[in-house]
Amino acid sequence: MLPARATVGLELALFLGLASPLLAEWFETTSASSRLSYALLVPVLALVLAVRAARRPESPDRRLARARAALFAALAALAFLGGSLSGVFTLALCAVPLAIVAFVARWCGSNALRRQAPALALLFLMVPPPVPLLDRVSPLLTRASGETAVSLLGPFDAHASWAGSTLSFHGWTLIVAEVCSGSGTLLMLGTLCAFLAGLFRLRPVAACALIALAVPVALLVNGVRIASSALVIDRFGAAASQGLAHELLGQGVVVAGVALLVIAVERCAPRAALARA
Amino acid sequence: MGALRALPWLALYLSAALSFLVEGGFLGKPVAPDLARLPGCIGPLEILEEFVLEPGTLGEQPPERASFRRVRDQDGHEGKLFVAYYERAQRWSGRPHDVEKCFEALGWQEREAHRLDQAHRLWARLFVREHAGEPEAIRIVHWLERPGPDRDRFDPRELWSRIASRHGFRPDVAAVYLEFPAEAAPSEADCGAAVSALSAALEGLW
Repeated sequence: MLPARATVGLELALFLGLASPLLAEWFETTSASSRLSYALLVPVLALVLAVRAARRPESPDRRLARARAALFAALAALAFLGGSLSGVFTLALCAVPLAIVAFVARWCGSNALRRQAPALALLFLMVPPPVPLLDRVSPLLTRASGETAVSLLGPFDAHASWAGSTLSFHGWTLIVAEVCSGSGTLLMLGTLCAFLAGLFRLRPVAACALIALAVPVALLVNGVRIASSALVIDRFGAAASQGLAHELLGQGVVVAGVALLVIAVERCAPRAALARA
Repeated sequence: MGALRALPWLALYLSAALSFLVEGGFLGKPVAPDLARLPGCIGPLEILEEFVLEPGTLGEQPPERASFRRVRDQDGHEGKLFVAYYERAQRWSGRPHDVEKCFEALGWQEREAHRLDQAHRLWARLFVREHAGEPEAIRIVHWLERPGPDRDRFDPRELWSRIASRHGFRPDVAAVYLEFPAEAAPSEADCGAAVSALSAALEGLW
């Protein structure tokens, strides 16, 4: 008989080995797409939450954990099987966080499962949302981002307008690329909100409200991004709409949005903690 | 651990092993077709010379190979044929991206769409737009071509034939579309014949 720790290590190695082609493909897919690259950060953020939660002392409790472990293992098996047979990559990838939940339940017990719930829930965000869903959301985001940009540009040009994915400003037009449509910003800010909710241990309602806040913030951030690009191009010419300067401007605006969210959570979290106390 | 509780874990490791074999390409490796060897005729359509493709127009995750050709039907009407080969299909992950989204991004608006009851269950779509003040309408017929038996139906028999097939787990796919001016588009029967001929030709190339 192998010691328990050796069994855990062997099982983990076997699982990681079997999932390695899927994880390699996940890495390639997400790193190749600017819209999905946020997913690469998710395991790191989940690990931060897990380490933080593990520091809280709590007695081990194996009650019900084996039944839950078996349930999540069965769900992971279904996701692997369905995804592999149907060629749906995102479905197969769902098996990884499901299996991790199953392992945590089996090896660490139900208390640990509850304590690590934010980290484990965050881990599901490593699965990119299905493109058919994104394709339905993207046009709405593009339109809302464009209208926000037009409102912001109103003081500079009362005739600024938005049609499809094209901004008309001061007599010239700017076609906004799909990567600037807002879906990438929303996914990134949504993930960050989920992380902040776990980090500040917000209650489920507050956590959902924070994640919902990512939608207006993403629209505002993207509107500012498009409007500032238009102003920069108007001042410095079309060349300013490409290359490093444009990329830095876009990232700067997104970072400002992130800072806004962090400040909002930092201000609200102590009140929530006091209310709990 | 009771035998009953061990079952899900056994299922997990077995399905993970299947995923390992499929994703790792051990049950079938992609074979890129030489698209220059497409036949001169596919059913009632004649394949003519190639258009020049700008790499930047193929999106953020472009296909590994692509061919964009002029085609002509028996009545002399000209259209376009686009074949894009992807080494790794990822359904729901944008590879291949939906054809209708590409046309919508180019300013076309879909007016009508239906699926033809033929092999590969082709989509036939009508797009319209205004260009230089004039209305334009095009008919698009598109489908996904996978190696081996594939009629694109959710049917246990089809699933079994793919599993039993030598090519059943190959990860590659070709996204194909035909584009004609709406008023000069071939009939659905002609489109079906062209698709069957192109499908057979691609099967020989990969």
